[in-house]
Amino acid sequence: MKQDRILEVNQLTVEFTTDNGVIQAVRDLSFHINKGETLAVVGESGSGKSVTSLAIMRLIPSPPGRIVSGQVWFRGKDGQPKELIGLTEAQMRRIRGNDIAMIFQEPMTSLNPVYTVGDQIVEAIRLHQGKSRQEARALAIEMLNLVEIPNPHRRFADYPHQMSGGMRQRVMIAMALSCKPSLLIADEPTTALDVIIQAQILELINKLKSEIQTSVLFITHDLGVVAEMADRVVVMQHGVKVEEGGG
Amino acid sequence: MLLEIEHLQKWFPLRGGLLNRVQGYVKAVSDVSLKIHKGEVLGLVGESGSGKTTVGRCILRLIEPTGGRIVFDGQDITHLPKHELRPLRRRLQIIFQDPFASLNPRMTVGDILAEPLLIHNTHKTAAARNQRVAELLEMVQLDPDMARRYPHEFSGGQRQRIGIARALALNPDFIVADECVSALDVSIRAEILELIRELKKTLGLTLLFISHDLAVVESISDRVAVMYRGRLVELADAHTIYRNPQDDYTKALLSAVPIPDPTVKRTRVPWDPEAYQRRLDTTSA
Repeated sequence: MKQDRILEVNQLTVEFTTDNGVIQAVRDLSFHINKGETLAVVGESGSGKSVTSLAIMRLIPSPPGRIVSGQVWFRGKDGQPKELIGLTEAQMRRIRGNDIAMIFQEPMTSLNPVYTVGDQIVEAIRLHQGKSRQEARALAIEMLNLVEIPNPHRRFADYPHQMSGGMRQRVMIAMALSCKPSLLIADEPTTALDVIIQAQILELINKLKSEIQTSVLFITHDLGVVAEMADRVVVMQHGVKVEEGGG
Repeated sequence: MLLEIEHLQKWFPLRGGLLNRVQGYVKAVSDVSLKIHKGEVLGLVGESGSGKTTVGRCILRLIEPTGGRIVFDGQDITHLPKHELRPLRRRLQIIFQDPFASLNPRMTVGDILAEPLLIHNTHKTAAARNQRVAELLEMVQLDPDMARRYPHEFSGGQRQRIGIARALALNPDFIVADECVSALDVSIRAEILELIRELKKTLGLTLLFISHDLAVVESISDRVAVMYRGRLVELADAHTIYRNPQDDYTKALLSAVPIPDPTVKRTRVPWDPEAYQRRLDTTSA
Protein backbone atom coordinates (compact mmCIF):
# COMPACT_ATOMS: atom_id res chain seq x y z
CA MET A 1 0.00 0.00 0.00
CA LYS A 2 1.41 3.35 -1.04
CA GLN A 3 2.31 5.79 1.74
CA ASP A 4 -0.15 8.52 0.61
CA ARG A 5 -3.13 6.19 0.45
CA ILE A 6 -5.72 5.87 3.18
CA LEU A 7 -7.86 3.19 1.56
CA GLU A 8 -7.29 0.66 -1.15
CA VAL A 9 -10.04 -1.66 -2.38
CA ASN A 10 -8.78 -4.55 -4.52
CA GLN A 11 -11.02 -6.72 -6.68
CA LEU A 12 -13.92 -6.69 -4.26
CA THR A 13 -16.87 -8.93 -5.07
CA VAL A 14 -20.03 -9.06 -2.95
CA GLU A 15 -22.87 -11.52 -3.52
CA PHE A 16 -26.42 -11.72 -2.26
CA THR A 17 -28.44 -14.92 -2.25
CA THR A 18 -32.04 -14.25 -3.24
CA ASP A 19 -35.03 -16.38 -4.20
CA ASN A 20 -34.05 -15.86 -7.81
CA GLY A 21 -30.49 -17.07 -7.38
CA VAL A 22 -27.21 -15.44 -6.51
CA ILE A 23 -26.77 -11.79 -7.45
CA GLN A 24 -23.41 -10.07 -7.61
CA ALA A 25 -24.07 -6.61 -6.20
CA VAL A 26 -20.41 -5.60 -6.58
CA ARG A 27 -18.11 -7.28 -9.06
CA ASP A 28 -14.32 -7.10 -9.14
CA LEU A 29 -14.23 -3.52 -7.89
CA SER A 30 -10.93 -1.71 -7.29
CA PHE A 31 -10.28 1.89 -6.30
CA HIS A 32 -8.29 3.89 -3.79
CA ILE A 33 -8.55 7.07 -1.74
CA ASN A 34 -5.57 9.31 -1.03
CA LYS A 35 -4.99 11.12 2.24
CA GLY A 36 -7.18 14.22 2.59
CA GLU A 37 -9.04 13.47 -0.61
CA THR A 38 -12.76 13.26 -1.34
CA LEU A 39 -13.68 10.41 -3.65
CA ALA A 40 -17.24 10.40 -4.96
CA VAL A 41 -18.89 7.15 -5.99
CA VAL A 42 -21.87 7.80 -8.25
CA GLY A 43 -24.40 5.50 -9.83
CA GLU A 44 -28.11 4.79 -10.03
CA SER A 45 -29.97 2.79 -7.42
CA GLY A 46 -28.86 -0.83 -7.59
CA SER A 47 -25.44 0.04 -8.97
CA GLY A 48 -23.71 -1.25 -5.84
CA LYS A 49 -22.44 2.00 -4.37
CA SER A 50 -24.02 1.54 -0.93
CA VAL A 51 -23.04 -2.13 -0.83
CA THR A 52 -19.44 -1.03 -1.44
CA SER A 53 -19.49 1.28 1.56
CA LEU A 54 -21.11 -1.37 3.75
CA ALA A 55 -18.50 -3.91 2.62
CA ILE A 56 -15.68 -1.56 3.66
CA MET A 57 -17.31 -1.23 7.09
CA ARG A 58 -17.97 -5.00 7.13
CA LEU A 59 -21.65 -4.26 7.69
CA ILE A 60 -23.06 -6.45 4.90
CA PRO A 61 -25.95 -8.40 6.43
CA SER A 62 -24.96 -12.03 6.26
CA PRO A 63 -26.95 -14.00 5.23
CA PRO A 64 -28.08 -13.12 2.55
CA GLY A 65 -24.92 -11.13 1.71
CA ARG A 66 -21.35 -12.35 1.49
CA ILE A 67 -18.00 -10.83 0.62
CA VAL A 68 -16.77 -13.44 -1.85
CA SER A 69 -13.33 -12.13 -2.68
CA GLY A 70 -11.11 -9.08 -2.61
CA GLN A 71 -9.21 -7.06 -0.04
CA VAL A 72 -9.79 -3.75 1.66
CA TRP A 73 -6.57 -2.15 2.85
CA PHE A 74 -7.00 0.68 5.28
CA ARG A 75 -4.51 2.94 7.05
CA GLY A 76 -5.85 3.95 10.45
CA LYS A 77 -4.74 6.61 12.90
CA ASP A 78 -1.72 4.51 13.88
CA GLY A 79 -0.43 4.73 10.31
CA GLN A 80 -0.24 0.96 9.89
CA PRO A 81 -2.07 -0.59 6.91
CA LYS A 82 -4.63 -3.23 7.90
CA GLU A 83 -6.63 -5.60 5.75
CA LEU A 84 -10.25 -5.22 6.94
CA ILE A 85 -11.93 -8.24 5.36
CA GLY A 86 -9.74 -10.61 7.39
CA LEU A 87 -10.20 -8.88 10.76
CA THR A 88 -12.23 -10.40 13.57
CA GLU A 89 -15.50 -8.78 14.56
CA ALA A 90 -13.89 -7.46 17.78
CA GLN A 91 -11.01 -5.83 15.86
CA MET A 92 -13.47 -4.39 13.39
CA ARG A 93 -15.57 -2.87 16.15
CA ARG A 94 -12.56 -0.86 17.31
CA ILE A 95 -12.20 0.60 13.82
CA ARG A 96 -15.86 1.42 13.20
CA GLY A 97 -16.77 4.84 14.53
CA ASN A 98 -13.18 5.46 15.62
CA ASP A 99 -11.03 5.17 12.46
CA ILE A 100 -13.84 4.99 9.91
CA ALA A 101 -17.08 6.84 10.60
CA MET A 102 -20.23 6.79 8.57
CA ILE A 103 -23.18 9.11 7.99
CA PHE A 104 -26.32 7.80 6.38
CA GLN A 105 -29.08 9.19 4.24
CA GLU A 106 -31.79 9.08 6.86
CA PRO A 107 -31.03 11.24 9.89
CA MET A 108 -34.46 10.23 11.18
CA THR A 109 -33.76 6.52 11.47
CA SER A 110 -30.06 6.56 12.29
CA LEU A 111 -30.49 8.31 15.65
CA ASN A 112 -31.95 6.49 18.63
CA PRO A 113 -35.27 8.18 19.51
CA VAL A 114 -35.14 7.35 23.24
CA TYR A 115 -31.80 8.99 24.03
CA THR A 116 -30.90 12.67 23.84
CA VAL A 117 -28.58 13.60 20.99
CA GLY A 118 -25.94 14.63 23.51
CA ASP A 119 -25.95 11.22 25.18
CA GLN A 120 -25.54 9.54 21.82
CA ILE A 121 -22.46 11.58 20.96
CA VAL A 122 -21.05 11.00 24.46
CA GLU A 123 -21.54 7.25 24.01
CA ALA A 124 -19.45 7.24 20.83
CA ILE A 125 -16.68 9.29 22.45
CA ARG A 126 -16.51 7.23 25.66
CA LEU A 127 -16.57 3.95 23.78
CA HIS A 128 -13.61 4.76 21.58
CA GLN A 129 -11.55 7.28 23.49
CA GLY A 130 -12.02 6.15 27.09
CA LYS A 131 -12.72 9.66 28.30
CA SER A 132 -14.51 10.48 31.54
CA ARG A 133 -18.16 11.50 31.47
CA GLN A 134 -17.33 15.19 31.96
CA GLU A 135 -14.60 15.23 29.31
CA ALA A 136 -16.86 13.44 26.84
CA ARG A 137 -19.68 15.86 27.52
CA ALA A 138 -17.41 18.86 26.95
CA LEU A 139 -16.15 17.36 23.71
CA ALA A 140 -19.71 16.58 22.55
CA ILE A 141 -20.74 20.18 23.10
CA GLU A 142 -17.63 21.34 21.28
CA MET A 143 -18.60 19.08 18.35
CA LEU A 144 -22.17 20.44 18.29
CA ASN A 145 -20.67 23.89 18.18
CA LEU A 146 -18.35 22.85 15.36
CA VAL A 147 -21.25 21.67 13.19
CA GLU A 148 -22.87 25.07 13.79
CA ILE A 149 -25.80 24.05 15.94
CA PRO A 150 -26.97 27.17 17.76
CA ASN A 151 -27.10 26.96 21.60
CA PRO A 152 -25.17 23.67 21.77
CA HIS A 153 -25.48 23.58 25.61
CA ARG A 154 -29.26 23.58 25.39
CA ARG A 155 -29.48 21.39 22.27
CA PHE A 156 -27.32 18.74 23.97
CA ALA A 157 -30.39 17.66 25.96
CA ASP A 158 -32.74 17.55 22.95
CA TYR A 159 -34.27 14.32 21.73
CA PRO A 160 -33.99 13.64 17.97
CA HIS A 161 -37.69 14.37 17.36
CA GLN A 162 -37.22 17.90 18.69
CA MET A 163 -34.87 18.71 15.84
CA SER A 164 -35.38 19.37 12.14
CA GLY A 165 -33.94 17.05 9.48
CA GLY A 166 -31.01 19.39 8.80
CA MET A 167 -30.20 19.66 12.53
CA ARG A 168 -30.32 15.88 12.92
CA GLN A 169 -27.92 15.44 10.04
CA ARG A 170 -25.59 17.93 11.76
CA VAL A 171 -25.78 15.78 14.92
CA MET A 172 -24.89 12.72 12.84
CA ILE A 173 -21.89 14.55 11.42
CA ALA A 174 -20.86 15.72 14.90
CA MET A 175 -21.06 12.13 16.14
CA ALA A 176 -19.17 10.78 13.14
CA LEU A 177 -16.35 13.29 13.49
CA SER A 178 -16.15 13.24 17.31
CA CYS A 179 -13.40 10.59 17.22
CA LYS A 180 -11.55 12.39 14.40
CA PRO A 181 -11.70 9.44 12.00
CA SER A 182 -9.18 9.11 9.15
CA LEU A 183 -12.01 8.20 6.79
CA LEU A 184 -15.57 9.48 6.68
CA ILE A 185 -18.07 7.52 4.59
CA ALA A 186 -21.05 9.68 3.64
CA ASP A 187 -23.80 7.65 2.02
CA GLU A 188 -26.24 10.07 0.31
CA PRO A 189 -26.06 12.37 3.36
CA THR A 190 -28.15 15.14 1.81
CA THR A 191 -30.65 13.23 -0.32
CA ALA A 192 -33.46 13.53 2.23
CA LEU A 193 -32.86 17.25 2.77
CA ASP A 194 -34.17 20.39 1.07
CA VAL A 195 -31.78 22.19 -1.27
CA ILE A 196 -30.99 25.14 1.00
CA ILE A 197 -30.20 22.78 3.89
CA GLN A 198 -28.28 20.53 1.49
CA ALA A 199 -26.05 23.43 0.46
CA GLN A 200 -25.34 24.24 4.13
CA ILE A 201 -24.50 20.61 4.98
CA LEU A 202 -22.18 20.25 1.97
CA GLU A 203 -20.34 23.44 2.92
CA LEU A 204 -20.06 22.12 6.47
CA ILE A 205 -18.57 18.77 5.37
CA ASN A 206 -16.03 20.57 3.20
CA LYS A 207 -15.06 22.90 6.04
CA LEU A 208 -14.69 20.10 8.61
CA LYS A 209 -12.79 17.93 6.17
CA SER A 210 -9.95 20.43 6.04
CA GLU A 211 -10.13 21.16 9.79
CA ILE A 212 -10.01 17.55 10.94
CA GLN A 213 -8.01 16.35 7.91
CA THR A 214 -10.12 13.37 7.19
CA SER A 215 -10.57 11.68 3.82
CA VAL A 216 -14.11 11.32 2.54
CA LEU A 217 -15.84 8.59 0.56
CA PHE A 218 -18.93 10.37 -0.75
CA ILE A 219 -21.72 8.28 -2.18
CA THR A 220 -24.39 10.03 -4.20
CA HIS A 221 -26.51 9.88 -7.34
CA ASP A 222 -26.49 13.65 -7.82
CA LEU A 223 -23.83 14.89 -10.24
CA GLY A 224 -24.35 18.45 -9.04
CA VAL A 225 -23.27 17.37 -5.57
CA VAL A 226 -20.28 15.51 -7.07
CA ALA A 227 -19.11 18.64 -8.86
CA GLU A 228 -19.22 20.49 -5.56
CA MET A 229 -17.50 17.93 -3.37
CA ALA A 230 -15.24 15.52 -5.20
CA ASP A 231 -11.54 15.48 -6.04
CA ARG A 232 -11.99 12.27 -8.01
CA VAL A 233 -15.03 10.31 -9.18
CA VAL A 234 -15.82 6.61 -9.62
CA VAL A 235 -18.89 5.79 -11.71
CA MET A 236 -20.63 2.49 -11.03
CA GLN A 237 -23.27 0.62 -12.97
CA HIS A 238 -24.73 -2.81 -12.18
CA GLY A 239 -22.00 -3.50 -9.64
CA VAL A 240 -19.10 -2.68 -11.92
CA LYS A 241 -16.84 0.37 -12.09
CA VAL A 242 -17.42 1.82 -15.56
CA GLU A 243 -15.31 4.96 -15.30
CA GLU A 244 -12.91 6.74 -13.00
CA GLY A 245 -11.47 10.22 -13.32
CA GLY A 246 -10.20 13.38 -11.70
CA GLY A 247 -12.46 16.29 -10.77
CA MET B 1 -59.27 28.94 -17.34
CA LEU B 2 -59.70 25.39 -16.13
CA LEU B 3 -59.07 25.70 -12.44
CA GLU B 4 -59.00 28.55 -10.01
CA ILE B 5 -58.30 28.49 -6.30
CA GLU B 6 -58.87 31.53 -4.14
CA HIS B 7 -57.45 32.03 -0.65
CA LEU B 8 -57.23 28.32 -0.06
CA GLN B 9 -56.65 27.36 3.57
CA LYS B 10 -56.11 24.05 5.25
CA TRP B 11 -55.53 23.74 8.98
CA PHE B 12 -54.95 20.38 10.57
CA PRO B 13 -56.10 20.17 14.20
CA LEU B 14 -53.52 19.15 16.80
CA ARG B 15 -55.11 17.01 19.47
CA GLY B 16 -53.69 16.10 22.82
CA GLY B 17 -54.05 16.24 26.58
CA LEU B 18 -56.30 14.17 28.79
CA LEU B 19 -59.53 14.61 26.84
CA ASN B 20 -57.90 14.59 23.42
CA ARG B 21 -59.22 18.05 22.73
CA VAL B 22 -58.04 20.25 19.88
CA GLN B 23 -55.10 22.19 21.27
CA GLY B 24 -54.07 24.14 18.22
CA TYR B 25 -53.65 23.94 14.48
CA VAL B 26 -50.95 23.24 11.94
CA LYS B 27 -51.54 25.77 9.21
CA ALA B 28 -50.41 23.59 6.31
CA VAL B 29 -51.86 26.02 3.79
CA SER B 30 -52.56 29.51 5.07
CA ASP B 31 -53.37 31.45 1.91
CA VAL B 32 -52.92 30.26 -1.65
CA SER B 33 -54.58 31.68 -4.74
CA LEU B 34 -53.73 30.60 -8.25
CA LYS B 35 -55.21 29.92 -11.68
CA ILE B 36 -54.41 27.11 -14.05
CA HIS B 37 -55.14 27.54 -17.73
CA LYS B 38 -56.33 24.82 -20.04
CA GLY B 39 -53.45 22.87 -21.56
CA GLU B 40 -50.76 24.28 -19.28
CA VAL B 41 -48.41 22.67 -16.80
CA LEU B 42 -48.17 24.64 -13.59
CA GLY B 43 -45.18 23.63 -11.50
CA LEU B 44 -45.54 23.90 -7.72
CA VAL B 45 -42.26 23.90 -5.80
CA GLY B 46 -41.29 24.27 -2.18
CA GLU B 47 -39.38 22.44 0.51
CA SER B 48 -40.88 19.56 2.48
CA GLY B 49 -43.62 20.80 4.75
CA SER B 50 -44.37 23.88 2.66
CA GLY B 51 -47.90 22.65 1.92
CA LYS B 52 -47.63 21.80 -1.76
CA THR B 53 -49.08 18.29 -1.43
CA THR B 54 -51.91 19.65 0.74
CA VAL B 55 -52.81 22.11 -2.02
CA GLY B 56 -52.93 19.29 -4.58
CA ARG B 57 -55.10 17.10 -2.36
CA CYS B 58 -57.49 19.97 -1.52
CA ILE B 59 -58.02 20.66 -5.22
CA LEU B 60 -59.07 17.04 -5.73
CA ARG B 61 -61.16 17.18 -2.54
CA LEU B 62 -59.22 14.23 -1.19
CA ILE B 63 -59.01 16.34 1.94
CA GLU B 64 -61.47 19.08 2.85
CA PRO B 65 -60.16 22.64 2.74
CA THR B 66 -60.67 24.78 5.85
CA GLY B 67 -61.36 27.94 3.87
CA GLY B 68 -61.27 29.47 0.43
CA ARG B 69 -62.78 28.47 -2.88
CA ILE B 70 -61.96 25.93 -5.58
CA VAL B 71 -63.53 26.53 -8.97
CA PHE B 72 -63.16 23.85 -11.61
CA ASP B 73 -64.29 24.59 -15.15
CA GLY B 74 -66.65 27.33 -13.99
CA GLN B 75 -68.19 25.29 -11.17
CA ASP B 76 -67.53 25.91 -7.48
CA ILE B 77 -66.56 22.49 -6.13
CA THR B 78 -65.42 23.58 -2.65
CA HIS B 79 -68.46 22.23 -0.82
CA LEU B 80 -69.95 19.89 -3.41
CA PRO B 81 -71.46 16.83 -1.68
CA LYS B 82 -69.96 13.43 -2.40
CA HIS B 83 -72.55 12.17 -4.89
CA GLU B 84 -72.27 15.34 -6.98
CA LEU B 85 -68.51 15.13 -6.81
CA ARG B 86 -68.41 11.62 -8.22
CA PRO B 87 -69.01 12.52 -11.91
CA LEU B 88 -66.25 15.14 -11.55
CA ARG B 89 -63.76 12.58 -10.22
CA ARG B 90 -63.55 11.22 -13.73
CA ARG B 91 -62.17 14.57 -14.90
CA LEU B 92 -59.80 15.13 -11.98
CA GLN B 93 -57.03 12.59 -11.51
CA ILE B 94 -53.80 12.11 -9.60
CA ILE B 95 -50.44 10.42 -10.17
CA PHE B 96 -48.76 9.45 -6.92
CA GLN B 97 -45.12 9.61 -5.88
CA ASP B 98 -44.39 6.05 -4.95
CA PRO B 99 -45.08 3.56 -7.75
CA PHE B 100 -44.33 0.76 -5.30
CA ALA B 101 -47.06 1.74 -2.85
CA SER B 102 -49.77 3.01 -5.18
CA LEU B 103 -50.46 -0.20 -7.13
CA ASN B 104 -52.34 -3.07 -5.48
CA PRO B 105 -49.89 -6.01 -5.44
CA ARG B 106 -52.71 -8.57 -5.63
CA MET B 107 -54.28 -7.21 -8.81
CA THR B 108 -52.96 -7.69 -12.33
CA VAL B 109 -52.03 -4.56 -14.23
CA GLY B 110 -55.06 -5.19 -16.47
CA ASP B 111 -57.39 -5.23 -13.45
CA ILE B 112 -55.78 -2.10 -12.02
CA LEU B 113 -56.34 -0.21 -15.25
CA ALA B 114 -59.86 -1.61 -15.78
CA GLU B 115 -61.05 -0.66 -12.30
CA PRO B 116 -61.74 3.03 -13.01
CA LEU B 117 -63.58 2.00 -16.20
CA LEU B 118 -65.69 -0.40 -14.13
CA ILE B 119 -66.42 2.06 -11.32
CA HIS B 120 -67.48 4.83 -13.67
CA ASN B 121 -69.17 2.36 -15.99
CA THR B 122 -67.68 3.92 -19.09
CA HIS B 123 -66.93 0.65 -20.86
CA LYS B 124 -69.80 -1.79 -20.38
CA THR B 125 -68.36 -5.06 -21.68
CA ALA B 126 -65.21 -6.89 -20.69
CA ALA B 127 -64.10 -6.79 -24.32
CA ALA B 128 -64.42 -3.01 -24.45
CA ARG B 129 -62.50 -2.69 -21.20
CA ASN B 130 -59.72 -4.98 -22.40
CA GLN B 131 -59.52 -2.93 -25.56
CA ARG B 132 -59.16 0.28 -23.53
CA VAL B 133 -56.54 -1.29 -21.22
CA ALA B 134 -54.47 -2.26 -24.26
CA GLU B 135 -54.85 1.24 -25.63
CA LEU B 136 -53.69 2.75 -22.31
CA LEU B 137 -50.65 0.50 -22.09
CA GLU B 138 -49.66 1.49 -25.60
CA MET B 139 -50.13 5.14 -24.70
CA VAL B 140 -47.51 4.83 -21.96
CA GLN B 141 -45.28 2.74 -24.23
CA LEU B 142 -45.73 -0.62 -22.53
CA ASP B 143 -46.54 -3.90 -24.25
CA PRO B 144 -50.34 -4.57 -24.11
CA ASP B 145 -49.55 -8.22 -23.26
CA MET B 146 -48.25 -6.99 -19.90
CA ALA B 147 -51.84 -6.58 -18.70
CA ARG B 148 -51.74 -10.13 -17.33
CA ARG B 149 -48.77 -9.46 -15.10
CA TYR B 150 -48.58 -8.27 -11.50
CA PRO B 151 -46.96 -5.01 -10.30
CA HIS B 152 -43.99 -6.75 -8.66
CA GLU B 153 -42.85 -7.96 -12.09
CA PHE B 154 -42.19 -4.37 -13.17
CA SER B 155 -39.36 -1.93 -12.54
CA GLY B 156 -39.96 1.43 -10.84
CA GLY B 157 -40.11 3.30 -14.13
CA GLN B 158 -42.55 0.80 -15.64
CA ARG B 159 -44.73 0.97 -12.54
CA GLN B 160 -44.87 4.74 -12.79
CA ARG B 161 -45.99 4.31 -16.41
CA ILE B 162 -48.82 2.11 -15.12
CA GLY B 163 -49.71 4.81 -12.57
CA ILE B 164 -49.86 7.33 -15.40
CA ALA B 165 -51.98 4.99 -17.55
CA ARG B 166 -54.43 4.61 -14.65
CA ALA B 167 -54.70 8.38 -14.27
CA LEU B 168 -55.42 8.66 -18.01
CA ALA B 169 -57.99 5.83 -18.10
CA LEU B 170 -61.04 8.10 -17.95
CA ASN B 171 -59.75 10.86 -20.23
CA PRO B 172 -59.35 13.42 -17.43
CA ASP B 173 -59.12 17.16 -18.03
CA PHE B 174 -56.88 17.84 -15.08
CA ILE B 175 -54.16 15.80 -13.37
CA VAL B 176 -52.25 16.45 -10.16
CA ALA B 177 -48.81 14.87 -10.46
CA ASP B 178 -47.47 14.77 -6.91
CA GLU B 179 -43.68 14.18 -6.87
CA CYS B 180 -44.30 11.60 -9.58
CA VAL B 181 -40.65 11.23 -10.61
CA SER B 182 -38.94 11.80 -7.24
CA ALA B 183 -38.56 8.10 -6.49
CA LEU B 184 -36.94 7.33 -9.85
CA ASP B 185 -33.31 7.30 -10.98
CA VAL B 186 -32.19 10.18 -13.20
CA SER B 187 -32.21 8.32 -16.52
CA ILE B 188 -35.64 6.76 -15.83
CA ARG B 189 -36.83 10.14 -14.60
CA ALA B 190 -35.92 11.73 -17.93
CA GLU B 191 -37.91 9.06 -19.78
CA ILE B 192 -41.02 9.58 -17.64
CA LEU B 193 -40.81 13.37 -18.00
CA GLU B 194 -40.51 12.92 -21.75
CA LEU B 195 -43.61 10.69 -21.70
CA ILE B 196 -45.61 13.25 -19.70
CA ARG B 197 -44.53 16.01 -22.09
CA GLU B 198 -45.64 13.94 -25.05
CA LEU B 199 -48.98 13.01 -23.50
CA LYS B 200 -49.58 16.63 -22.66
CA LYS B 201 -49.12 17.51 -26.32
CA THR B 202 -51.19 14.69 -27.82
CA LEU B 203 -53.98 14.67 -25.22
CA GLY B 204 -54.00 18.37 -24.35
CA LEU B 205 -53.58 17.62 -20.62
CA THR B 206 -53.59 20.24 -17.90
CA LEU B 207 -51.30 19.43 -15.01
CA LEU B 208 -50.43 20.65 -11.57
CA PHE B 209 -46.89 19.33 -11.28
CA ILE B 210 -45.79 19.20 -7.65
CA SER B 211 -42.11 18.67 -6.90
CA HIS B 212 -39.30 19.76 -4.62
CA ASP B 213 -36.82 19.33 -7.47
CA LEU B 214 -36.31 22.65 -9.21
CA ALA B 215 -34.62 21.21 -12.28
CA VAL B 216 -37.46 18.76 -12.89
CA VAL B 217 -40.06 21.51 -12.55
CA GLU B 218 -38.16 23.79 -14.91
CA SER B 219 -37.97 21.09 -17.57
CA ILE B 220 -41.71 20.48 -17.69
CA SER B 221 -43.61 23.59 -16.54
CA ASP B 222 -45.06 26.55 -18.41
CA ARG B 223 -45.44 28.54 -15.21
CA VAL B 224 -44.01 27.96 -11.75
CA ALA B 225 -45.44 28.74 -8.29
CA VAL B 226 -43.17 28.76 -5.24
CA MET B 227 -44.57 27.93 -1.80
CA TYR B 228 -43.04 28.63 1.59
CA ARG B 229 -44.64 27.56 4.87
CA GLY B 230 -48.19 27.42 3.54
CA ARG B 231 -48.02 30.55 1.42
CA LEU B 232 -47.45 31.28 -2.22
CA VAL B 233 -44.44 33.60 -2.38
CA GLU B 234 -43.88 33.86 -6.13
CA LEU B 235 -45.64 32.82 -9.33
CA ALA B 236 -44.27 33.50 -12.80
CA ASP B 237 -43.46 32.02 -16.15
CA ALA B 238 -40.94 29.18 -15.87
CA HIS B 239 -38.42 31.07 -18.00
CA THR B 240 -38.67 34.29 -15.98
CA ILE B 241 -38.61 32.76 -12.53
CA TYR B 242 -35.42 30.75 -13.17
CA ARG B 243 -33.56 33.63 -14.75
CA ASN B 244 -34.86 36.52 -12.77
CA PRO B 245 -36.40 35.51 -9.45
CA GLN B 246 -37.97 38.38 -7.48
CA ASP B 247 -38.69 36.89 -4.08
CA ASP B 248 -35.86 36.46 -1.52
CA TYR B 249 -36.81 32.87 -0.78
CA THR B 250 -36.93 31.94 -4.46
CA LYS B 251 -33.51 33.53 -4.89
CA ALA B 252 -32.02 31.56 -2.00
CA LEU B 253 -33.66 28.35 -3.20
CA LEU B 254 -32.38 28.66 -6.78
CA SER B 255 -28.89 29.65 -5.70
CA ALA B 256 -28.64 26.56 -3.46
CA VAL B 257 -29.04 24.08 -6.32
CA PRO B 258 -25.70 22.37 -7.00
CA ILE B 259 -24.42 22.82 -10.56
CA PRO B 260 -23.10 19.64 -12.26
CA ASP B 261 -19.95 21.39 -13.48
CA PRO B 262 -16.88 21.58 -11.23
CA THR B 263 -15.55 24.66 -13.05
CA VAL B 264 -18.62 26.75 -12.19
CA LYS B 265 -18.73 28.14 -8.67
CA ARG B 266 -22.19 29.07 -7.57
CA THR B 267 -22.72 32.08 -5.37
CA ARG B 268 -25.20 31.24 -2.72
CA VAL B 269 -27.67 33.95 -1.75
CA PRO B 270 -27.70 34.23 2.06
CA TRP B 271 -30.84 32.91 3.67
CA ASP B 272 -32.32 34.12 6.94
CA PRO B 273 -35.58 32.29 7.60
CA GLU B 274 -36.49 34.32 10.71
CA ALA B 275 -36.19 37.68 8.99
CA TYR B 276 -38.07 36.37 5.97
CA GLN B 277 -40.90 35.01 8.13
CA ARG B 278 -41.20 38.35 9.95
CA ARG B 279 -41.52 40.13 6.62
CA LEU B 280 -44.15 37.64 5.41
CA ASP B 281 -46.16 38.11 8.60
CA THR B 282 -46.12 41.90 8.40
CA THR B 283 -47.10 42.05 4.71
CA SER B 284 -50.04 39.65 5.12
CA ALA B 285 -51.32 41.14 8.39
